[in-house]
Parts: sequence; structure tokens; C-alpha cells
Amino acid sequence: MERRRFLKTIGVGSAVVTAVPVFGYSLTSLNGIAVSLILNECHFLKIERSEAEKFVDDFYISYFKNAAQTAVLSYKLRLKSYYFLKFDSSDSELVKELVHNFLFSTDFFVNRMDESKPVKYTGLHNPFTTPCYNPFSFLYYPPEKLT
Amino acid sequence: MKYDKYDLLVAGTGPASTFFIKKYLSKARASVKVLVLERGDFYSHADRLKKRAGDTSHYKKAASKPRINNEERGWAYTIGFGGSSNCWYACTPRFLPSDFRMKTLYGVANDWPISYEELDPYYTEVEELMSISGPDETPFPRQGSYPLPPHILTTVDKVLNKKYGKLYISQPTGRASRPVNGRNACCASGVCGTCPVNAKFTIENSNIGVYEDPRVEVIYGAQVYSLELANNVVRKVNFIQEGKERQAEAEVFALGTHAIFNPHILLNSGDSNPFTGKGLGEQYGLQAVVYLDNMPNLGGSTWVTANGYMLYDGVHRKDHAACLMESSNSPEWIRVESGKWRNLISFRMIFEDLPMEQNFVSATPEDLLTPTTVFKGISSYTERAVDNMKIKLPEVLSCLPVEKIEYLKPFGSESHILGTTRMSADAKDGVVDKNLIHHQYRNLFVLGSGSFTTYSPANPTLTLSALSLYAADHAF
Repeated sequence: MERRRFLKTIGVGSAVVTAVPVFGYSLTSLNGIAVSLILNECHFLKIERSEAEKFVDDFYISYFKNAAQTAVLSYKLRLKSYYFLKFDSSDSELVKELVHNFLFSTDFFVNRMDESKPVKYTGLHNPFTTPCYNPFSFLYYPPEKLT
Repeated sequence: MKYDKYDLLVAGTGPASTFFIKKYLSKARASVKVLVLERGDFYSHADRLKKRAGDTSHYKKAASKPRINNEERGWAYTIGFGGSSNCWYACTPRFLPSDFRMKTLYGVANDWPISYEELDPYYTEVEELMSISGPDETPFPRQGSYPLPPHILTTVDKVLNKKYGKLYISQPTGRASRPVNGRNACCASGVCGTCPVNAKFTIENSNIGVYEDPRVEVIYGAQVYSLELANNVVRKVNFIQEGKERQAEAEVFALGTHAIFNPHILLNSGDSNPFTGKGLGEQYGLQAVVYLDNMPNLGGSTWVTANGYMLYDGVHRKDHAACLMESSNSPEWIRVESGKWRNLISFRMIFEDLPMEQNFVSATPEDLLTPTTVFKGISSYTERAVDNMKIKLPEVLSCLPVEKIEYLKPFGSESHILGTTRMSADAKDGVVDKNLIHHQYRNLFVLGSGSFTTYSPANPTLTLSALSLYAADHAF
């Protein structure tokens, strides 16, 4: 009897331990996870959650515009896994791509990487519609000002 | 087709074909007839840009890449008018004189049948036609200044340039440093495949008058798949257009389709040269990300700002390959760390490789339109160079406040397909002679980087373009 209760407890416990993350995994939205990843990576910057949310909404509309369903599903699975496994941009190209895209879609680099200023989303960055946006280039740092 | 027979028939409209035709036309009589068969369509820069910006383009389907069996490497190229000038990043360093003499100097592979000195005036001519931007001091011999001033180095590049002089230079490039010839100046957008400001040289924006010449007729959507050979002479080409088999006749033929499709056409035609298709190769590359202590890397005026030659030439090439460094000024290289955003420099480390039998192009039985490629890997000569580079790089960068160096996974491809119709002094060592004429079929030129005898780490387009000018100048 004791043994049977023990096994039952272990069984229920295992089920709970397994089910809760899987449940959370499937219920947590991709956009919510993406926002959390961005805010976590850039925790030392002044970013309102709503700024990251606006970016993520626009980013995924564009990102998945012509993507196959399998590619979308694969992306979602990978990003969610990285989130639950606590990967950051040094562990994952996908997370790095997301964070970089966010920063390039804000006024952060235009403000010369001033970490004391609030970071505002300024619209999704696309180098083909907004060329010459290399915030480290001679246009932003002319040689005469660097010497 | 306007005529039953042409004086010259060229397959392909990329740089190899275009510079060949350019020189031919400059020497030919006013009445010559030139037919150019282009497999793809005319897919304009404006349309490419539209698609990149997220709009739809009706050329999308026509621009897709054709099938290659076993394409493990993901070879990069573009089908359509202008060929790979549409997707190249316009890096145009010359080869070093030693690159042409690997056997004599280092006992490795073979010497080219052509020397740097013979090619020098044709390098200069291509640099003029492409309006190359570059510095006065270079590691390769060169007379006079480049057509355009050099691009501006970054703060970190300047430190390396100060230490190494002409071994660390502003990269010679077809990304214009000033507005020129209908092109704008490069502004370091970092997406050169389709330049958003039309700054890089392409065949479309070249303004060199080849395809506007009334002697030239271009047919689009025409895939050449074989040649009709008789008595060591090419009589006709066989091609498919809109699903129909067609033929065209000429006195002289030139294949400029690229280093996978050129040998495939030869193999389909029954060419029995043992080197045709063999030695399929390219360079090998990986990224070295160098984290710097309190030293921001800022102010460059183009995508690749510099080339480093510190690990390129020397007696080490008896044992291991040359390595060319490319300093990347792409905006993607940032550190998401407080106060350290741009405290890094990222180098693409590019290694030469050797032609190897195990890597080749072959015909595909019962499918004349699809080549098969087999690429089993790089040489141990190149592998040793990668190991050596990792030992030497900290010393090379000792003038910088290096925190750490991180090596990323090697790239699948360097986008340069080489060596499948190699150039040699005679038929026992290769497919074409120094004028790019097939050793057996003397009215057939086989153009492009397939002709390279060895695989320098330097980017190939400038050299293959100079070879086309040289070939046409000496053969006609």
C-alpha cells in the first residue's frame, strides 16, 4: 500500500512537472516571448514594453509575409525553446537577429548609443527602403570628428 | 535569330562574357555579327530593389536559380542579364604576382601559363571600366592611381594600416567612393547583393556599350546545353528556348556561363579532356570576431573597408595556404553590452585552396540540362592554414587592445566557383591555354573563373574580367 501511494505520487508529480512547461510552452504567444527576449537582453536600456511590442507586431508581419507554414512553425518552436532554455544572443543567432533588428528600428543609434535616453521605436528597419543607415559609418562619424 | 550564321557566338552575359565581347568589338570590323544567348531574363536593378523592399515583381520566377544535382555547397550565382554582377559585393583586389607561380615559388599545384606582368595592363583596363576605388599603395605592383579615391578606413583599420602599411589597405572595390558614370557613391548600407543606391558596378549600369552595339544580338531565355563538335572544331551550339530545341551556328564560340555550367556543356558535348569538370573549388572562409577593450570601430565608408595581407604571402605557402583578411563594416556587428556597442572588429578570413580530383562537375545521365556536382571537402593544405591563422592572429593584432577573439562556424560557400576548366601550357595539365582557347577545339573560348589554375584567396571577378580582355586582345 505504501509502495503504491509512493508510485502514484511520483507519477502525478512527474506529470505535473512535464505538463506545466508544455502547457506554458503552447500557451505563451510568440510575440510575448519575443518582447521578453528583447527586454531581457537590453535590460540596461530604458525601453517601455509598449515600444518593444510595437516593433514585434510589425516585425513578424513582415518576417512571415511570404514564409511557408512549416518555416513559421519551425521559427516559433525554436524561439520558444530558446526562451524557455534561457538562451541569449550569444547562444542563438535567432535571438541576436531579433534584438539587432529591434535596436536598428529605434532611435538608439541615432542618439549615439546614449543609454540614458529612453529608446523609441521609429519604424521597421529595411536597408532597401532606408539605405545608408549604418550608424557606425562615416556619415554618422565623419573622419574630421574622429581624429 | 536574325542570321543563319554568326562570326561570334557567346553564351552568358556576366562579366567574363561582357569584357570578352567588349574587347572583341573594339577590334572587329563594322560588319561582324555577334549572337549572345542568355539563359535568364533581363531582370533590372529597379525590379530587384522593388522585390527587396517587399513589393512584388513579375520577374520573380524568371530569376530563380536552376537546379544542380548534389548542390551541397549552396553555390551563389545569378541567372539573368549581367550574371553574377547582380549579386556580387564588388570586391576587386588584384591577385599577387606569386599567385600565378605557385609551383615555381612554393612547389604547390601548377604555375599559370600567364604571368602577372602580362595581365597587368588588362587589370588596369578593367579597373578603369569598372571605375574602381582604391588606394595608391597596394601589396601588388600597380602603376598610377585608381580611377576613384579609396574608401575611408574605420578607426581600427587606421591603426592596422599605420602598423602594416601596404599590407593593410583600403579595399579596392567596385563600390564607388564618389558618384561616377551614372552610379551613386556607396554609403555603407551593407547589403551589396542588391545595392540600394546603385553604387556598385554591374553589367547593367556599366555604360560600356556592349549590348547597345548594333553588331550584337541578344536572345533571352536561351539555355545552351551542348556543342556540336566535328574534326576538333565547334560547328553549332544546341540550346533550349521556351521548351523548344534550337541550334545556332558561328565561326567562333565562347562559353561564359560559369564554372559549373561551362564544363557541363563541354561534358554534354563529348569533350574528353581529363580535366574538364575536375577540381571544382573555391576559397574557404570563416569570420573572426575581435572584441576590443574600450576602442570603438567607427567611420568606415563602405561595407568591406580593408584588406589585410599579413597572412597571405610567404614561404609558409610551401606548407599551408594564403589567408586574406576582409575587415567588415557591416552594421550587423555590434555588442549588446552596456557601453561597448561598437568595441569590436569583424574579419572575414579567406583561405586559398587547391584543385582536387575528388571535387568535380559531371554530366547527369538522361538529363542534359542539369549538372551534377560532387564536393567532398577542402584540402589539408587549407586546413593547416586555418589552424595556423588561429595561432598567428593574436600576434598580428597585437597593436589593438584585444579582449578576445571568437571564431564563427565556416561559411558554406565563398560564392566563388573555380577551376573546372583550368588553364595550362598544354593539354596534359588542363583544358584551356593562356588565351582561354580550348586545347583541342581551337575555335572555342572557355571564359571565367573555371580557367583559374590555382585558387588565390583574392576575389576572382577582377581577374576573370582581365583574362577575358587579354584573351580577346591576343586572339583577334
